[in-house]
Amino acid sequence: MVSYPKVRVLENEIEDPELTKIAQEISKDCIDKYKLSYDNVNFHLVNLDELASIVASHGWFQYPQAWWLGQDYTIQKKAHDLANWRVYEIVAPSGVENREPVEAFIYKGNPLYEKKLVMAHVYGHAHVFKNNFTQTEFKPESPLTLLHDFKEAVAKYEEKYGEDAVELILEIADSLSTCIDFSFANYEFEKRKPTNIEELLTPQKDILKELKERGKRKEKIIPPERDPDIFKFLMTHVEMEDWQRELLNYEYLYKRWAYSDSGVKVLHEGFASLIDFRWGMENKEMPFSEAFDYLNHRAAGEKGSIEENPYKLGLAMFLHILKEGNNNDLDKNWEHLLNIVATQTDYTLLDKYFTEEFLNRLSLEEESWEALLAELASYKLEGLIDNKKTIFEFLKGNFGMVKNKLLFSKYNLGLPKIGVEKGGFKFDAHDSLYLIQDINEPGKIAQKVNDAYNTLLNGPVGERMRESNGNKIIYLSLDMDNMLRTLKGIHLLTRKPVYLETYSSEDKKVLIKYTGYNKGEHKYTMMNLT
Amino acid sequence: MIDPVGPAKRKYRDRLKKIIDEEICRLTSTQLTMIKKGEVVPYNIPVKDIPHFVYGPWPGEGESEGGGNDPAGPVYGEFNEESLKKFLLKDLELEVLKPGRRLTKEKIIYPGISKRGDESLLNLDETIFAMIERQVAMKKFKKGNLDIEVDEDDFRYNFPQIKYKEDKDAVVVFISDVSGSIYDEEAKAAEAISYLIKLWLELAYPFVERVYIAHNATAWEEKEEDYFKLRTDGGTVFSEAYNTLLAMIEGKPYTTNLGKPRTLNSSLVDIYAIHMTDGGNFIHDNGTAIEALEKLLPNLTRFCYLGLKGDAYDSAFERMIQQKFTDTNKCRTYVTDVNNENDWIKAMKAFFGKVK
Repeated sequence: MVSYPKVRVLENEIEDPELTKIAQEISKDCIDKYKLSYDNVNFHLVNLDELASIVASHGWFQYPQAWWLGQDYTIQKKAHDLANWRVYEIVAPSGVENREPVEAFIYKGNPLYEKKLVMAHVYGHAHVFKNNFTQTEFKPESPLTLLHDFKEAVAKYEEKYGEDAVELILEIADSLSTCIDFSFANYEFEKRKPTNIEELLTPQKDILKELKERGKRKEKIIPPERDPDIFKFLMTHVEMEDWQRELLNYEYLYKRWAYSDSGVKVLHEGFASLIDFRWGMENKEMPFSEAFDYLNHRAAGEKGSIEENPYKLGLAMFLHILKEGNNNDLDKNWEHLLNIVATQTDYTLLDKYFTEEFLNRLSLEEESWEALLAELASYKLEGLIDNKKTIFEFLKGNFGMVKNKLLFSKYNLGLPKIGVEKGGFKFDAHDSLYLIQDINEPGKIAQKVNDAYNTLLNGPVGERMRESNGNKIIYLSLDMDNMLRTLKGIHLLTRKPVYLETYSSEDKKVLIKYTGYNKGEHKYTMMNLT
Repeated sequence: MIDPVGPAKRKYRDRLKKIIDEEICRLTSTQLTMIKKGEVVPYNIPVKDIPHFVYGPWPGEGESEGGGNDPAGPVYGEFNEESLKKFLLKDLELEVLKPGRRLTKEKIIYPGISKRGDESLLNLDETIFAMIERQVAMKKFKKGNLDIEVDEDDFRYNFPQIKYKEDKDAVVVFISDVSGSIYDEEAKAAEAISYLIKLWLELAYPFVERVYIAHNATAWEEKEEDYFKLRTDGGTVFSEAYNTLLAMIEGKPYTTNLGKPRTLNSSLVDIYAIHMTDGGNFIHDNGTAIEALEKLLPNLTRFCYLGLKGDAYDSAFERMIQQKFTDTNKCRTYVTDVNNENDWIKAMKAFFGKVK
């Protein structure tokens, strides 16, 4: 006998028996018919104020209390009050077997049919949380405990060292949270680098312990190889007080896992949308027109870029994968799809399945995918595309460019790859730190990204894009304001000059030397390396 | 109630307060005039982000895609007269104005009963009780059959006591140079600052009367509604304006567009005079003007000289004031650059800030 996960629907912490029954039935459908597997799920019915608050904390009951959490809450609250946007659901990917259920939050003002579809959607997410390799790789043993401890530590040290000192460390930590090695996003499960598998075996390596071990070893060249994980490197090598290192460590452990979501956004939302789509279409009790309205609104018709709204692209790709194989054997295709969900990331999914055939299929159902097609063609010039037909023609003509742009936006989570150069720690008499932006990685993937960049920038379309200011264009250069402010944070940690080898907007290699911040101005010098 | 955002709300509010103060300091003369007319001035609350290494163009290379400090759409606030008052009162750290002491009747209370008093203060209840008490004492009282027989001794009167409060009304006299050398920018700055002075005085005084004196080579009292639109030709003579104010105080005749001349009693009201000018006084008048000011000052609570620094500002008279009148609590000067639209905070601090 199949054992089903425990599903509950709670309102003000009290179980709603009717809705719980409905949720359990949907869960049973998802497990029996769609072969999903996930941990226990709690649905919480929340009002707008609670929703704003829970969206700000990314679905967690416990969250370190920094000022920007209050800011996020204010923005969400105002936007929800003014109905600028509305979040259908938010899911905390906790899901520790039999201990921490997946916590999903649904707006209680939604009509029942929407609640049902959102529940099916949540089960889709819960399946990805449990089965996709990126979601489990860096998962803390108990995410809720980690966040709880983090929150407590922040409160404790604020009392001891003052709010300003603690918030400064938290700001630096947040700033460094994108300087983690995210190369997992670029490989599918079987083809990852051996170094990553080693990481997989000890995902919870205690930084403090490692530091003590490091003290025993004698290293002359630090780091011995280029280190893509600046955050971890600084945390282990820079001298600081224990409480500061403890807070950085909490942030590192949480963010390394939290960011793994960004590597499977299309896959996550696409699969969850596919589940609510299938359940909505196949369930006889569901009024067809309402289900269709919701799905259309949710997945295909909504505006927004692919980065902001990955539902439509993900759903379209999964539907294509389902239809691509043997049409008569849905079960077999579904197995194949579940395997894809478990083993791919956005980058590999797009690399493999974003094909010309896929684009052709979209064109056959052009009306349903109008918004998606327009979005894919969004690096068009104003006036280049006059009507629907030319959108498709444009996409067909520029297929390579469109795909490369998509791949570029997913490579390394769309973030620049920056690392500590080999021997770059205390490399000169002033004990400076040497960082390097890495675009010339050896290997096929980097080649593709470079190709993407070159096609976009140097091709005829790139020329025209350059002419018209403000259109979408990809840059290898780092956003100047952000770069200087991030360097300021690193400088505050190391208290030594920080060098960064990077690229200017004209692709010239430049070296930036950051030496501090005084009276509202960043102190830095820049020189050309080529 | 699910609320994972606890102390973070308070932390953000603290930061927000700083942001709002920064924003209110950026209000321009034009915006202050809008608030004066009863409109609200909206402002964006910038969303502060945490910086990260992200791709993006360098400055001058098209628009940034990487975030930065973009103002958020939904987060905005509004400034109105109330927010200005709050700012003046709490954040600007101005000297607290104490109205000159004068007793005014606030109300009459009746704390006691008396056997003597005015007919109008007769207390009937107490009179009847006194009558009954007398009848009981004299054993004339019959139960169930009250005999109303009021003696002269029975009459009781309320004993009145007058409650006074200490306050004083204020008169703010705006003296504005409307000669040919004053342009729109100068007039705009003058209007904004005079509005703030009025707001500030209204916070301290129960009633603030406004008097407007305009002058070029001659001086006259003007209506409020026309005052800041007024432009004339001709030269500038400060002593005329000061003498007009002196005439008001002394009850002498002066020129007025209001129809009826007024008298200001400096013992009953606090008089504040604000002189707004580009400083271009007729050079032979400087001495006379200083003399007139000397006569005027004992009657004033404060004299504020606002120099409007436009294209041609003359600082000669301002320097003379500073040399002659060293009592900084009574006589204060400030020069505002009319092209710098949000100079009003410094002006207010100069006129009403604490003396160090």
